[in-house]
Amino acid sequence: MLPRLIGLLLTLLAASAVVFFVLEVLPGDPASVMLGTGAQADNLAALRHQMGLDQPAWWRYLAWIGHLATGDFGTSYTYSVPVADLIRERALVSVPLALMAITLSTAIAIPVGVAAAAWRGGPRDLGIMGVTQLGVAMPNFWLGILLILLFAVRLAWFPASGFAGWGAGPLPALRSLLLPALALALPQAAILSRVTRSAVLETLDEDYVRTARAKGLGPAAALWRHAVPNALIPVVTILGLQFSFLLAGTVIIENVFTLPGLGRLMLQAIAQRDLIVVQDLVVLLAASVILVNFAVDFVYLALDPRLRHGGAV
Amino acid sequence: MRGLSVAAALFLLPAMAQAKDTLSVGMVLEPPHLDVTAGAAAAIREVTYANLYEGLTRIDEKGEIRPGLAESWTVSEDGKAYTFKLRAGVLFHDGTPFDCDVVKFSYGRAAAADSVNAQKPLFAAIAKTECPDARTAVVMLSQPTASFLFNMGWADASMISPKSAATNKINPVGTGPFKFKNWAKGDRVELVRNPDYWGEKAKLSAVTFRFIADPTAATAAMLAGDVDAFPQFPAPEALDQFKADKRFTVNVGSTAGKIVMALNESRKPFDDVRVRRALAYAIDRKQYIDGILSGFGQPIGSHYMPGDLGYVDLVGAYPYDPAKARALLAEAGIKPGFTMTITTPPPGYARKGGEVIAALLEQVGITVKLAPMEWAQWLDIVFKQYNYDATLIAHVEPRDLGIYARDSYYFNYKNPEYRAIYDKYLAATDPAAQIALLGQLQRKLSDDEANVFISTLPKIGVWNARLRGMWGNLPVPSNDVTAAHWAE
Amino acid sequence: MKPSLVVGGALTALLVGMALLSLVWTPYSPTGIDILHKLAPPSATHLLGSDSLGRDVLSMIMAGARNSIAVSVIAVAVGAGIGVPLGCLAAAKGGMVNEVTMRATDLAFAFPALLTAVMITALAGPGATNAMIAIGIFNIPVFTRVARGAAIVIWQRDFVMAARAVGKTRWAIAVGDVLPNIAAVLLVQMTIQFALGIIADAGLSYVGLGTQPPQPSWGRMLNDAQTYIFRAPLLAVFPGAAITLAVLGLNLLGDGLRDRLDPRLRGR
Repeated sequence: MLPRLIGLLLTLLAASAVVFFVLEVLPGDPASVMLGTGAQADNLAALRHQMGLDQPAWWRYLAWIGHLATGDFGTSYTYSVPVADLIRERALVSVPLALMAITLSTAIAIPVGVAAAAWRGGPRDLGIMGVTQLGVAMPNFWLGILLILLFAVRLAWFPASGFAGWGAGPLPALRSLLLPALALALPQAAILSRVTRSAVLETLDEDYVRTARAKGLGPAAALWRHAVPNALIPVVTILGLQFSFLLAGTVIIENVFTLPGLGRLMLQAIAQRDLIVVQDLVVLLAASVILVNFAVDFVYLALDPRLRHGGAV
Repeated sequence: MRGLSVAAALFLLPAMAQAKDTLSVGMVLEPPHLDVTAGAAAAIREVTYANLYEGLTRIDEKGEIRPGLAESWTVSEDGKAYTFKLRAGVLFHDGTPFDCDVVKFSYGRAAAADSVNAQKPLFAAIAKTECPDARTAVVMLSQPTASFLFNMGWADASMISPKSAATNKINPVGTGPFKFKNWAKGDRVELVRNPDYWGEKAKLSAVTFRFIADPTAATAAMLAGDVDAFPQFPAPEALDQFKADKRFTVNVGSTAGKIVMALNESRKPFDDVRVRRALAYAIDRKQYIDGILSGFGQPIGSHYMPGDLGYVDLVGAYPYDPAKARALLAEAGIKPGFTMTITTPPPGYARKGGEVIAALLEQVGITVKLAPMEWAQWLDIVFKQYNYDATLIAHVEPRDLGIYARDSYYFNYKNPEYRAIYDKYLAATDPAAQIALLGQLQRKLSDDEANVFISTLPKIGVWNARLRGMWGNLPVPSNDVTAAHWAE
Repeated sequence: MKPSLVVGGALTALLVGMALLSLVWTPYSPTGIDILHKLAPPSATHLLGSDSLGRDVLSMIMAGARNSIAVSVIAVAVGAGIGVPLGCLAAAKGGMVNEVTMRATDLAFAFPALLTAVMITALAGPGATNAMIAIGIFNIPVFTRVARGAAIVIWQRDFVMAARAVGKTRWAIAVGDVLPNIAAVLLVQMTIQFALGIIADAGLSYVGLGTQPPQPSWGRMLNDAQTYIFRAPLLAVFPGAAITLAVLGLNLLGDGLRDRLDPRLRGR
């Protein structure tokens, strides 16, 4: 466990260094962005000093990492407020969105996948496989546009874009997240149901399931009592991957629906050369990817006691 | 019973609809902070001017000076002493009373050596501010300044409470009819009615400024009613659908903006006047204006706004003529397939406009690469380093012929004749001579086609048709919603 | 032959054929504007209608196929060109080399791919070249892992053991024996990454960071279409359908190839 934790920290450190120095060499000066076309040389120098930009790069890197280690994300160049506040505000959009999407995706995919496995080879299985094949191929942002076309333009049931905010209670906020969550969830559900189907099929072929069947257990009971629980490991692996993908990969969906989430925060921060926000965000997302993978390993242990005794995944 | 409640619902619903007293205003750019006395960004003014902060004077929709926190004033005969009678009973949002000491503090802070005021030179004329009593402020100038009252109506001259001066960036405190409530960074700023306002209270109980840079998203937000008004709508190419829709008002006002394709004249072949003229012949201003501005721009033939003092109509100097353009290019030794890069900042007139310009230049054998840049990069690479071929840009400063006479400016137009005329213009005192020289300047620019002059930049606002009291023109950057309200 | 191979092959051939055809012929110039006839519905003159500047949508989709393929093929080439040698090296050398390579791929996987590609293109300057590089970078660890995993299995096989016993060098074995035997797995991975590349390129173009106008791209067409979604909804349908069919074709082709080339994976 300890070596893994150290590895995790080293990975994060390496990631932070990569991000910092890549940003350092690219053009664009945060101070001149803030002052605009009318910037005077002395104003600019004063602001650069105020922002600490007149320090050498290595010093700023160390200062940044040092502060991160104590939980201080620094102050946004653009807004002069703590970066942590900015990220928290945006996470209130992105995290619920990712959670909604993953819930929808799981709720759709597992029954569909299990059903397809139960109907193996039949016309219904083929139909499901055809639809999921299409779902895998569909870019989620196009699906988002189609959902807008149908539910916002034609039927006017949902807003075409924007986020109502949590201030007015949870319902308006959830309403404005529903279409984007669906757009994210459906392609993921297509992948997940294919994985579920093949995992269930594989366990159905295992000896213990055959034995259970031979002992007179009905096909449905064999499926739900033996095959499905044992098929969950690959499903959880994919879920873990999908969660990181959803948390970080919503940037395009946030643009389609104009949601003030983490992805758009990053695009805005890049546009304004608010580099500290970009650095913090990338490191934070990298950390969340690593931690989710870490967590998935624990779920394996819970799902499969055999792995607790030194078995490999 | 059921019948009754249905009737009640039917009765109540329209009543609720009528009672709308909040407003959601769309803006393209988000302010970096909210201290209007410490930054040049127009977005700061667009949220706060007149709504949140007020100065001694204010500028109205027509660009005229009105009393603000000073109810009246007198000017001494030598034009050097301004005596302002201050309003009584004015309180800042944090409860601090407004009096002459505040005037002294605000002007002193703006003129101080460490001032970060974007219009610091405006305050250079102020020698000192005296307070004979709390409701009288005497501002002494070192020299007469004709535009002083107008200048003090700029947002940069807003009255700032000494108590909140340091924190106005994130928690702005002014004397205006609206006060600050919340700022969800990257998304919106919310203001609410100031119940203790000294003058007529705002009709709206709350105003939200939402920041939507993307033209697509702006269109969607307007159409869906998420935003009630977009005073500077970022997708002029998509206006047709609003014009056709009775729910919306489309307002076309003027700005001082001139859209030009600026050419880097320190780079070959743009130093060759034949090439610049060829580009001018190759660009069909009508297609650009119809396609990109939904027909709402006026073609220009020089760097000057139609209607400004001394305007000369030079639009016909380079009519759309691809054949002539090709001939000129051949004469200058430019072979078909010549490739140039056009740098485009974010606004639609540049991003989307670049596609039109590229298609038009393709017709005369020029291959165009479009290089989109965020403002940050544009300022750095184009404006500061002069590292570009051509860029589409709107110059929004009024009557800025002077930029072509500068020693160093990003398009590197260095013409001694032009500069000589400009020096003569600066020295001229006789209005007739000034007008004649202004004409000469415009002709010289057009003759040299220093940049390719394309169109005026219209200020296109779109808002809900029931909304009243929005400004149609923008003499100063602002979204003054103090008089905005909903029609019955 | 499996239906997936047939359908996938046909769709892919259609995609590639359309892209190649666009090099010599499109109904109209894909960049030619015609403001007077903007937002025209599909008709005999414009089979798929015209866009907001009067450009022919069919011509743009054809030229867009070309640009999309160019980005994803080069991204795959970047990924495979660097990733496969690295993976083979890790498998052949083992030890520290293997360890370092694997930790480096771990590091790469910690960066959320799409978000980082967005960051790279936004910062380095939007455009097709940077999109190729950004997508290519994330193909590298994928190919490294796949090549290494497949190669390690081959290194354990009897014929490799035999080759080592007779004194064939590691290098000669890696190139002469191992690489040909993992080619099938790599080919399948290439079609998968090709498909993912098309989606990623479309996504980057949608947010304005991929292929730049005047060159048409599917993602940008979708973005433009969204502005006119109330007036010309079909504009948002055609480019998305093109992306979906292209990706569907490549995925099916990949499945079909896997079944055909690697019997052990059949039925998964």
